[in-house]
Amino acid sequence: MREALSLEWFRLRKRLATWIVYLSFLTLTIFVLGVSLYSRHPHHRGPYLGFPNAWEVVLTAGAPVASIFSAVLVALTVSSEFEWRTSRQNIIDGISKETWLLGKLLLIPAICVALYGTQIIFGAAWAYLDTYPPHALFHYPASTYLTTALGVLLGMTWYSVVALLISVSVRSSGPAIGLTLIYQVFDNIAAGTLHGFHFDRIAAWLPFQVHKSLLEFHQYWPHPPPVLEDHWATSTLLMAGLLWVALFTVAGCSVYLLRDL
Amino acid sequence: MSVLEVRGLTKRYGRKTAVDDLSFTVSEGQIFGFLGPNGSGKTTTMGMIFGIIHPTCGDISLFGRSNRKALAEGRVGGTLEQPNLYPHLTGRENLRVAATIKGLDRSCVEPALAAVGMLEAADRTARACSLGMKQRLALAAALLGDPEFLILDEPTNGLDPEGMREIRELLVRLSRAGRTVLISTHLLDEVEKVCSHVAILKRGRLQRSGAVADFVNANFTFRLRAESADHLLEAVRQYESARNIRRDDDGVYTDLLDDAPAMLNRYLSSRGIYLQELCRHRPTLEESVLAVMQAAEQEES
Repeated sequence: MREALSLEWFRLRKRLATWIVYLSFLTLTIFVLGVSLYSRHPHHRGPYLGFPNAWEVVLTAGAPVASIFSAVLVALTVSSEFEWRTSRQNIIDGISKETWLLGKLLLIPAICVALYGTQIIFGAAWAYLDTYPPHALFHYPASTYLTTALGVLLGMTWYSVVALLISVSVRSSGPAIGLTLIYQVFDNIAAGTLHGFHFDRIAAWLPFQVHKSLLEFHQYWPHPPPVLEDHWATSTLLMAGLLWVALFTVAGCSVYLLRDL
Repeated sequence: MSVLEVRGLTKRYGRKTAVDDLSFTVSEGQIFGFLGPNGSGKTTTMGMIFGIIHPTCGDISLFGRSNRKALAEGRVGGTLEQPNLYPHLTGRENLRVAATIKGLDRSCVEPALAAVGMLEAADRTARACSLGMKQRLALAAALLGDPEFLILDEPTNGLDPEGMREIRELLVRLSRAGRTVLISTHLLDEVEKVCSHVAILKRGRLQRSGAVADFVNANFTFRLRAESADHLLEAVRQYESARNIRRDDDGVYTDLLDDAPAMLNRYLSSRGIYLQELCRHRPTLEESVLAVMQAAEQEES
């Protein structure tokens, strides 16, 4: 398993496109985190910026960017293997289809951790340097921040698994990336339609809506105010996220294993 | 000992039958040529042997066991269609990836590169390589681990004459070393030079298979020339024992069911046609294959 992952990592890091995507991600991360952190600076009369309060921004402000880029990287990596026909050559060379797929599945959390880790390190360093003498107003227990990080990683994983499913289905990097990005539009339209018919609870369970909730810090508040809209019980939200990850993973694996290469 | 046994192999895509009830055997040490026009089902068959295309029905066994097991054991190596390489990796890196997948030590990469004459260009990315160089790299990757059975789809495609000769010699060397090779190509001249056995496919069906020597000898034909080729052709067509009659610039060709050219000569003389030439003609493999294709065409029509 370690060998499969290291092989995937080798192929990924040797590719120029990977670094272009990563640099784009870094640029957007600097922009998004910068805006979020700077807006909290005392000159702007924002709330106190400093640890542990800054964790909220560090953990969730750039999460949508990290999520999109992890999905793009997965789509780029997986679909290219079909364009180059290396997916079939790997099987000819003696690896089983299951092992090939396992390599890609292992790559998903690795990419998610790498991108999210970049954001956390970058955001935390920025917040640390910008911290001024504390007069903390309020902060949450450490477990809240930990759960938030896990929830965001789960959300990123889900979107990457969607990219995997699309990639093994369309087998071409351009359409795979395009469809991965467009997917959220369809999901949002479906949710909007359901809201229109007052099926709010069903709409909240749609995959991308669950994904969006997983990236929101307030979903992990230990004692949320009762007026908060679209609020999930944290455990239910995590379960819903896991459910969608499992379903999309099974769908992706089935498509890959059943189709000819 | 049979290395590959294919029995009743069929692949259908909806209504279209790509491979139809195909059966053949490749034995140890053979260089087996897999021939047929485009769309005849060669690549689909090879894909099924490699386990990347699911057969609709039929059995494939490699070394007496399932193809997936034999592939996993590294007893089979090969390529399918174009060389399948990572374009952003160098030749050497591509081979290292293949070696890792095959569970081999990296030290096996250099001899494989040397075997196909790619040592000097091994640090070029695959993207920057010519088709011929990619073919060599793909062949080097297939040779990693010294597999007992090589399956190569158009391995000389894109190679210059010198490169073709090198690959041909490499295949012969492998065969002499006891390796078995299944090779698909359009270059019938190549096949005649290296292959010991052939199978001919058309529209997914096996037309003929067997040893190249038997195949060519079985297609002995007679070449006739006379002053008027038109009259000669007309007369031969009316001769009872004549089959597979065709005409080209060199004369009229026919098979004789009774294998009695003297009788044919007497018949033609009686019709006032005096032959300038009557000789046995040993066809090339290309001519034999074309004859098989034509016969199949006539049978279908």
